[in-house]
Amino acid sequence: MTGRDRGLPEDVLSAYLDGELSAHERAAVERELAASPSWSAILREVREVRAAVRGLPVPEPPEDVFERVLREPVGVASGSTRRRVLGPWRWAAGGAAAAAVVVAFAVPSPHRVTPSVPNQVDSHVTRASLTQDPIMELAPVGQPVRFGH
Amino acid sequence: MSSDGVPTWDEVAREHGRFMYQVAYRLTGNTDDAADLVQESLLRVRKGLESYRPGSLEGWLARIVTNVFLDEVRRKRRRPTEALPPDPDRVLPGSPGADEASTELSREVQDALATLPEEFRVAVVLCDVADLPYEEIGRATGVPVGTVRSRIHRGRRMLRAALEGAWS
Amino acid sequence: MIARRAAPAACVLVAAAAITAMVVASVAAVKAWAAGPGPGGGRGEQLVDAAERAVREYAFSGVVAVEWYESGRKKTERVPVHDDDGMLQLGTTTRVMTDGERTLVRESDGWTVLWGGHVATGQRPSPEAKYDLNVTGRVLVAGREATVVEAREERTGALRERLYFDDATNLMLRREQIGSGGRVDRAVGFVTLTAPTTIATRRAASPHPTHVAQPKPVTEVGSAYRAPRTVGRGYHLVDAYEQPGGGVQLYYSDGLFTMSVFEQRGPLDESALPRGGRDETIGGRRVRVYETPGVDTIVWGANDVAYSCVTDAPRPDLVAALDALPAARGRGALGSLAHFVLAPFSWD
Repeated sequence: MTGRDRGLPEDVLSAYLDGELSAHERAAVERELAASPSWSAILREVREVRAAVRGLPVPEPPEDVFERVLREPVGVASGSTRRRVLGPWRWAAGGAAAAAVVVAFAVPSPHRVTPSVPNQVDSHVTRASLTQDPIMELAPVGQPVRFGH
Repeated sequence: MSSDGVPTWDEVAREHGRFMYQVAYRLTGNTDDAADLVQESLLRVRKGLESYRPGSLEGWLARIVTNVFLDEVRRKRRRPTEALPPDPDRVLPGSPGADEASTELSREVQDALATLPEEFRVAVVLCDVADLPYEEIGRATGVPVGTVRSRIHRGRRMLRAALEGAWS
Repeated sequence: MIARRAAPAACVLVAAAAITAMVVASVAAVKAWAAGPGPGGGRGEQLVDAAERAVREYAFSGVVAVEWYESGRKKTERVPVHDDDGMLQLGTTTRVMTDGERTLVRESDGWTVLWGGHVATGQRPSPEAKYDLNVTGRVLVAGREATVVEAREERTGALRERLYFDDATNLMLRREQIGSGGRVDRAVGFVTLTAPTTIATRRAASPHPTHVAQPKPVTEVGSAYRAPRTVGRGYHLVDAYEQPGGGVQLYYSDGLFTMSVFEQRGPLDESALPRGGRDETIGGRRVRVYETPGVDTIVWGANDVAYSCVTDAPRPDLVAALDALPAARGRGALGSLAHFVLAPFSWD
């Protein structure tokens, strides 16, 4: 019996990979996958493609992309004038304005968080070294570490 | 961020600009169009912040980038333009200045993405690049979740077919 | 009166954990490979018995060398160790003591006990689900005859670990983690070891701790967080903890390697991260990486949550785990349910 016969549309496979199904729906898909080699093959292909797109590197934006637009006066019309306004240009104010923008970027927001990396390392390796059962117990190897600030 | 959870425009550009650029780059396939798309999107963000209600910020930003992208696609369809003459000062896609780790495989995947019709490309990019849930993608594109699911799946199968030669 | 406080900042614990585990793991390791059919089957039985005795009965002292890579350069450190009554002590002046159930760290105002055994509530998966363990030969380590056991990933045949057991006492003498191309990415092992002798005296009483610093085991995490039951290739969620400063720690294992994922609400302040890290792209996302002798720490932020992954897993496993972490790029918090419930786990 194929997925179609059971009333399951093929696109449920993508929803399955993306975690968009309920537990009940997942179980139905898994039953179908166990029974249908063609569905398993499709799942494999879709999974590969999904991973390939997700694995694409994060592209680096050109340096001045954000700087330029942040200097735009409010109320600029879009459309046919867009290219001219956003094309390459030089501000007369030059360096000082650029420096002001850079400084603005560097000031941290008061609501941000910083993970305490040394404490996290401690927590992990200590937990990893606890022996609870005869299963292989190998904590991370290590040595005193120091983090600069 | 202000106390009501609405970010300032500076914060959006500083903290989410790269995310917007990433979505823009995967939609357009090249640096120049992605840069234009991001800049236009940020201008719309600035106007839209007044009415923004706190929620999924990246979902909202992705929606704006998508709408700007599709507006441009529709505009080009209505008024075809001639290609501009090649500009030696432009950074070409695929060169080290444009991409990090610009491997051949990345180029193939990106080129395959570019062959997809826009509605399928948008669905796949919003799912696998912006990592939005289907519900958000539906809100961003104005279609029901069922359509989102179908477009993502068909988009992925089309991508697979386009990559067949490279991977076999 | 035991007061609570945050865990100490200095990371001497890493050495304590490593060496304790190395010593105590003698029993576990030989049991693991002796249990299955294999070339070492019969001999394994004898080693199991001997190893159990070894852990409880031997006193020893020596120097342990720790090797790792930082930014492509190999580094080595040496730590003197001492165990004459069942309590492993590290360093020339004792600052860390551990017996595998409790770890005590000496600070300026007294001893702090970290991580009493009862916080380890979860069971790890058996390494046999993912790895093959086989005896492959004998070599000299710290001048002593040792048996070599190799752990290979079943699916790919890739060599992941090499373990060396003292023929005379069954103490584990050395552990190596093997990366791509056969390079020893990390290692800890004795370089000198005084001939272990039977423990003559009973264990002295542990110092009385004046502080306690340990996170709270939980079975639910808040709606801002994600707690997948498995990540990557065979890493199962073993335990979850609430961190003293807020946030959660999810502790994963594949039976051989371990991984903690820390999640904390709030946009990541990259400018305040410690020095010594390096920006990298892993699996398509930009992260900050800290390489230390025992573990790598990978930090990134997404959708107003700051993530850290602390692990000794090989790089392919790390990439697979990051890719599988649903919150690594984040899904919108809109419409999320109130809590994720972590049900009891079972391994097939």
